[in-house]
Amino acid sequence: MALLWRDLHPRILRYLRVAVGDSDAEDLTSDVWLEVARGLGRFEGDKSAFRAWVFTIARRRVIDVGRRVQRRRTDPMSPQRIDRGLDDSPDELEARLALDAALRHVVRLPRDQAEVVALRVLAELSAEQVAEILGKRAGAVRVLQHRGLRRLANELAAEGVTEQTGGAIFGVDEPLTA
Amino acid sequence: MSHSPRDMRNDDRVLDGLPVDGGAESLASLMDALRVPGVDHELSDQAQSVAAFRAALGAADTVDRPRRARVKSRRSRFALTLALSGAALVATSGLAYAGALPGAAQDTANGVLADLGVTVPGPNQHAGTHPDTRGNSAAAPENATTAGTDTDATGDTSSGKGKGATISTLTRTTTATGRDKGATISSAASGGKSHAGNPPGKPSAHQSTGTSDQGGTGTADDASGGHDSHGSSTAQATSDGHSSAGSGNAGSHPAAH
Repeated sequence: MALLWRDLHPRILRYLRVAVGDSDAEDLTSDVWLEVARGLGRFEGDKSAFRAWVFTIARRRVIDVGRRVQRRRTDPMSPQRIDRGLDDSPDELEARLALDAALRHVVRLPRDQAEVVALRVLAELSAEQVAEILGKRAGAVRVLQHRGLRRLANELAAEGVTEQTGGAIFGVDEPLTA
Repeated sequence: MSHSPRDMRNDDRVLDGLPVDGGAESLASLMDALRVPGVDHELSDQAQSVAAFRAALGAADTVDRPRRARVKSRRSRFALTLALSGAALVATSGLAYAGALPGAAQDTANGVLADLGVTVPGPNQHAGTHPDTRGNSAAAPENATTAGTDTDATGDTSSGKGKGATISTLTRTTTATGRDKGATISSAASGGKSHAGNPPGKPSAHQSTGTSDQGGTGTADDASGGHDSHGSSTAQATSDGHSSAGSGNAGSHPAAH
């Protein structure tokens, strides 16, 4: 159980940070787990299908939130989180900064592109599975993911992150190899 | 904006974390950063969250239990019905095989099981035309050959009504009284086979010989219309002189059988 939680919880939380922002992400993640617990007895399928099912639940929660309030996509790396990160080890801090920078890039994408990229990468779902969750055709999902990736690449280039700068893609002010 | 197949394949490789062509490494690294295992602040609530998840799981299981019980109950009822049906089939087949079913049922079983390649006896001849009368081979005479023709077993339904009227008339019109009247009526009703009216301790010719077709002079005389020359002598001989057949007793008690 703990292993399952440790594997899935960060993925769900990150997806929700992309989809609805930091302020609601943690509460919604708890809601998703409760719903998973309620429906687990009825689930049938393999690991990939389970992940798709969990993210379908998460996606429904995103829609519910979107109906109540206008989407609030805030910067994933809030000051509070930076403070909390001060106690982390250097490796942990580096991972956190890299993660938050990557999320910030994705959050800047148009919403549909951001959701496709997040579900494809964080949930490790195929284009077909993502299409089913989003209610789109697989071809449309592939177009969205292509546009999203191209936009991300352009942003990285604009920030001066080149292949020669290695880990500098994380969005920190100074390239790590400088 | 056009997307070449090569672009699409590269997109999939970037998103799936597979090695990519030159020029997309920075993008691949960005995706790798998204995939890093949970960091401390994401996992800080693990104990509480897992406990809450387990509690919710238990609650969901409790809620689902009555439904599962109903499902299980339905399965049990189905299994019980199946078992009882099987038992009934086996029992019926066994009775059919033994020829112990009522006539019509035995006939049906014979036809159905014959289709399945199982040979069971047909309805007992003694069952006659009575679909609800159990055929009893033990009661059937050895020489009975035609079902439904033995009036002793089936009763003569065509003449039954007339016979009843005759007996009724006889009851009202006979001049005999007491035991003689009873013997007269009984004899008429039984077709001459009744022993009623015989004096106590005096066996009839039928009883003494055990041969119903020959015993009793009254019977013999009645049956032959008085032409039976053997009546009295046969009864007398076979009863060692104890028979009253052929005597005046026979005359007054024609239904000696």
